[in-house]
Amino acid sequence: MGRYFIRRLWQTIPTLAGVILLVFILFNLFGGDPAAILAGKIVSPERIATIREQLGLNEPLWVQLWIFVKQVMTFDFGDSWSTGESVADIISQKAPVSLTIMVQVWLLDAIVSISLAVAVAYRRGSLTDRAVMGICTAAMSISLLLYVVIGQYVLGYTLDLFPVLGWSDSLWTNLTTYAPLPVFLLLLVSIAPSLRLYRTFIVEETTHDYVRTARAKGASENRVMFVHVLRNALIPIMTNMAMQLPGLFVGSFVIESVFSIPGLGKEIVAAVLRSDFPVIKAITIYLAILTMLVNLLVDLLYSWLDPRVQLK
Amino acid sequence: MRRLAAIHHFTHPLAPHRADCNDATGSWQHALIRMLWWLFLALALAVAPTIQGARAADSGKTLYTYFEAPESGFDPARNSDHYSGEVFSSIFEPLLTYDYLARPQTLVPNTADLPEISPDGMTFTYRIRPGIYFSSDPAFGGQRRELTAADYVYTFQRLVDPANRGAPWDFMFKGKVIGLDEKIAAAANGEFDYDSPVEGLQALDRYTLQIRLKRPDYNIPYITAAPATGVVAREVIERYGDDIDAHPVGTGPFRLKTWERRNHIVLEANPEYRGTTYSPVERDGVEFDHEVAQRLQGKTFPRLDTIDIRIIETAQASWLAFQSSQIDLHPRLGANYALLVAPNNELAEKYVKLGWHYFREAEADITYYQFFMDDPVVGGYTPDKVALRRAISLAFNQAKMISVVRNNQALAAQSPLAPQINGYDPEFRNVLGLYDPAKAKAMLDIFGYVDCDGDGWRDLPDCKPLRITYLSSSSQGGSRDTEEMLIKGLADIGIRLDTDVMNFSDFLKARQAGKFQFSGGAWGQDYPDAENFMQLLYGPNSGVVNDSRFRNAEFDRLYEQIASEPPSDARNERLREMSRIVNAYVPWIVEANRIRTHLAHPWVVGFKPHPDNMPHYLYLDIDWSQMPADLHARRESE
Repeated sequence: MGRYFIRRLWQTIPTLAGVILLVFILFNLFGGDPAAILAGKIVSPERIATIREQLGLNEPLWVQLWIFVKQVMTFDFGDSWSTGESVADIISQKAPVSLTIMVQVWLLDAIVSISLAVAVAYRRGSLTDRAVMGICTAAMSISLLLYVVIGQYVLGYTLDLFPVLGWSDSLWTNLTTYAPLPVFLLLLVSIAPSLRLYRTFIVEETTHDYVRTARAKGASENRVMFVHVLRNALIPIMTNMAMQLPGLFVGSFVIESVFSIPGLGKEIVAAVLRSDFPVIKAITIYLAILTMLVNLLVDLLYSWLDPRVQLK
Repeated sequence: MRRLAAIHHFTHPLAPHRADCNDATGSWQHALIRMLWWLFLALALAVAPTIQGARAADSGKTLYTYFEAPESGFDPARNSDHYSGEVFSSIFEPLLTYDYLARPQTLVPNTADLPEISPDGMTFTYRIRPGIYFSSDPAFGGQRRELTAADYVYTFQRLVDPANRGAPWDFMFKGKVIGLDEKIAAAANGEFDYDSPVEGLQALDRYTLQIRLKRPDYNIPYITAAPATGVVAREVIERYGDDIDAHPVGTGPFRLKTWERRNHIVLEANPEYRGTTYSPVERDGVEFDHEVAQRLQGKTFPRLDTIDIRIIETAQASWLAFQSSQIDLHPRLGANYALLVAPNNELAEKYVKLGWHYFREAEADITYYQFFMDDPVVGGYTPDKVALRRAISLAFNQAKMISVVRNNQALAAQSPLAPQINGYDPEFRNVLGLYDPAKAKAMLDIFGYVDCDGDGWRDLPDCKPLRITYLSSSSQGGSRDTEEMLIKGLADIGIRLDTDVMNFSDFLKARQAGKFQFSGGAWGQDYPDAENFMQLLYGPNSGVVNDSRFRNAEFDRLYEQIASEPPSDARNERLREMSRIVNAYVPWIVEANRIRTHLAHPWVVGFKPHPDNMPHYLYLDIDWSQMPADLHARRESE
């Protein structure tokens, strides 16, 4: 186990090197010139040259790449080119905001989707099953933007059930006042695909011999579904949930824009639009590391959920 | 025993999985509960940084408003975006300001009296009013810090110091003030030397500032009213260094209370501010809003304790926030909502009943389409090239563009100038640019732009293909409909228009580098004078602000004349002549002067949108008696 863990960590180095190289190449090929944006109204060649010099963009590419590598090694990505704010501050302030929304969505999505998936899988082929699947297909066909715009108007403004927008310094106020509507709308979008996926996992489990054996041995349907079937279906479900974890940190740009929530999703889009490379670099690298760690976590989880799986 | 490859097989959520026994683990339910507990603990730790104490309740008046795009920072020398300007215009004070209600825009004293201008228009002397103090800050060591002429000398030098993110405002003084360009050049090889004197920028005594120019420029008073020239204190700049964006310390009516970047800005009244009253300026030809003036009469400003600004980036969100009274003021309502609120440019009855204040004002800006005049196809000054551009201009349906794309929230521009500025003539008409596709076709036929190869599209007079590319930016909201109208307009006269869409920074660079044929542009006033707009077509400015690189000797001669003379009827005639040259040679197809709609709730007193596009929070007030009781109670409890 220990050797496996060390080997997996060791494997992150070439992966990270690949990410660094890819981000660097993509930015230099397609990222645009931040100096042109920072120059203001009068974009003279001299001003662009001055700003490029100040940002270090006139250094040879290999020097810029080496600076990037050093930043990754020290986890110090410097300051945002567009605002001068420390990149670490940006992430530490904005990521918890996105998490406040996305963690709720993640948990509630799992609870509701798994519960409904068990229910409809149990009644596979019934009218209820077909109706739920039909509703899911319809729900998945509608854009998040539409949910958000209509939800904000109807639930926020017309019915006055929630504030139409806002965010507070207080976690409690956010959880009780500002987050419920965005969370609800995101759930409307996320539950449908999760439910369909989890239903598939559970239905597949119900076709296995061990289920028939359990029934033949006289196990109740509840025991069959919740102890035998669900337990085995949890492996892919947990995988799916774990793979969503990195995405929780980056939030939802649409939700954050419409509800004026100061999360990381808006920050990322703004950074891309402004060609703010330090912010793009930091978020990309953090996400890459997080994804690799989550992959490792999932593999460890397998061996915990299914002792037949051994890590070597 | 499974190998790692098998484990990876499971990592895909849709991957098939097999498990044919179910008794290998023990109390897995307990394990799951444990896992969930640890998960919750980890999440609690992750979100813990957001837990902070509740904000102390305000006892005074707070105005809630919004910005439609995020700010950058509050150092005037480093930030040129509009929304940062809206904030620092309330914190830092320029020498002069504009009368809040007077139209056309009229300069009035601020920290200094109106300047003495030498007869040759090259020397400007300002007397700064004694007894003006910066808001308190640790940088001042516990002492009250009085504003002096030396502070403006330092402030103006900061505006040209390239170390300040390339000095986006340097055009205000660069190339104009005696001795300043030499300092800028010296800074290219080291740090900007703030201590050595500049011949044309001197504090003659504690309260007297003198600016001396290389050539006459009667726009200097306007420049010294621009928010970016708001005065800063050197001690503060040096104390906070690179973090100066977050520490704006000025002499203005408000100071920064809290700042959550790109989300929430709170200003509070500056206790060191001297207080001011409003009395409208009385000059010939100047009008003002009597109703608002009456409401401001006899009051000392500022009246508001706090300005609470949210960044709300979607039009529906800000509109609903205004309707639900989460914000008191809605500047710059989107064009779609402007139509909803005022279908015939008059406030709808249901909103009149709510007591909403409605303002519809033309902004001092212009939108246009420009040709790259050095381009071998669309550029040039020979009759066939001019004919091609004129034909395209005649095929441009300006009225339809304004009605369909701009929802009638714009005036049809007739010249390169904007309303609300010196030199703008509302009676001037672009007689050469009236929509007339038949005339355009005839003109193209006469000059040999015919379909040589029978493919349905016109070719160049030498029968080479005529294809024009329109350059646009992917981040310009709503540009697709503009492009479609241009494509259709040109197709109607047999010209094929392609589009090249690129990201905003590449778009800016391509335009500046002259790598385009045809493109859109817009300009808003830096100061309310025609020179600020005509500079965009001045030959020597090619590649700097003159993106089309239009060069016309007569235009340039007239520009040099109007740039160095004060407003007069003769100058206005010269400006009309310059507009005629532009409309004749068509480096630009002028499109629109945008109209903005602004809304205020009935309890907002004193609001009047200003052509300088700044919020002028100084003169706003809240009338509790006009506010619904439940909202008042809710506000007081916050």
